[in-house]
Amino acid sequence: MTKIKNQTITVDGQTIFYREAGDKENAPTILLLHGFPTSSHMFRNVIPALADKFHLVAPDYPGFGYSSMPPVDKFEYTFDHLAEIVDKFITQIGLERYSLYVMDYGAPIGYRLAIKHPEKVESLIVQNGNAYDEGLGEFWEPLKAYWNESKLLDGSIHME
Amino acid sequence: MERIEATRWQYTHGVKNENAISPDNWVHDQLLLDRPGNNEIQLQLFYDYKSNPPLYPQWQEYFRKYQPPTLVVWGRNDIIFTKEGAIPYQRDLKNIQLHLLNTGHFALEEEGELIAELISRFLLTRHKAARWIEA
Repeated sequence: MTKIKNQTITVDGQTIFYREAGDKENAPTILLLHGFPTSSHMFRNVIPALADKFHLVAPDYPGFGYSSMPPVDKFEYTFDHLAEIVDKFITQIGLERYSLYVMDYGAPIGYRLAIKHPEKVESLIVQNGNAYDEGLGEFWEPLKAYWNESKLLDGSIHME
Repeated sequence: MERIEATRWQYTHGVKNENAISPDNWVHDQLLLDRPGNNEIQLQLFYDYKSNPPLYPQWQEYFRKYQPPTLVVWGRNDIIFTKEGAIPYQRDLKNIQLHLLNTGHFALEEEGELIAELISRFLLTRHKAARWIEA
């Protein structure tokens, strides 16, 4: 059985939970960035499947999984901010180069990191992670309407 | 906001076989979504998602300029991020392998073994990671 380490680290005052497996010193690193509404939980099976060849790191963003969930008046929940937290997390755990696995919310977070540190990104693994207008189909129409509201609506969006 | 049916749907729409998808996924997610205060967090992020499409041109510019070797493994029946979003990566990236898999949004649930195999082959043969094997 592959050993998966379930760990936490403090980043900008927030507890960040992450799953890690594989040989950090010698194997190439894959940073796994999860989607909504899940967490590193979505990688629970793929981590052991790859851990004999790779070093895998899967953090939970604030508000997700087992990481801190500060309320909205104490923490700015934006993709810029989540990317900033993940960037600091990467620095703190000492990842210098990595491949990025991006899925759903992982794409806007991962691509913000790639633009900031292109030299750190060895390759991309893109799983339903969008970077083109063509990928936003009919599903997004109600969300686009929501984006055009002048203030946040309360609870009227359903993911169906 | 996120009723469990909607959470479940994200895992089950577009899959070949619903029996292959563990309820652990949506039960676990729902438990965390139902925490007091989490609804407001998720609404803020839905709202801020609008910050992403305006950045697409910058990301595409990054693809063109840096040409990271790229493996696309896309659940092609996903209606949240449709397969039409997978294809254009080929416009900007030269070293790319694209696989449109017959499954949904959370492609790892049904095609995790295949995806792990594709990642392994892609990274170990086409990418600098090969230096590690040679060492």
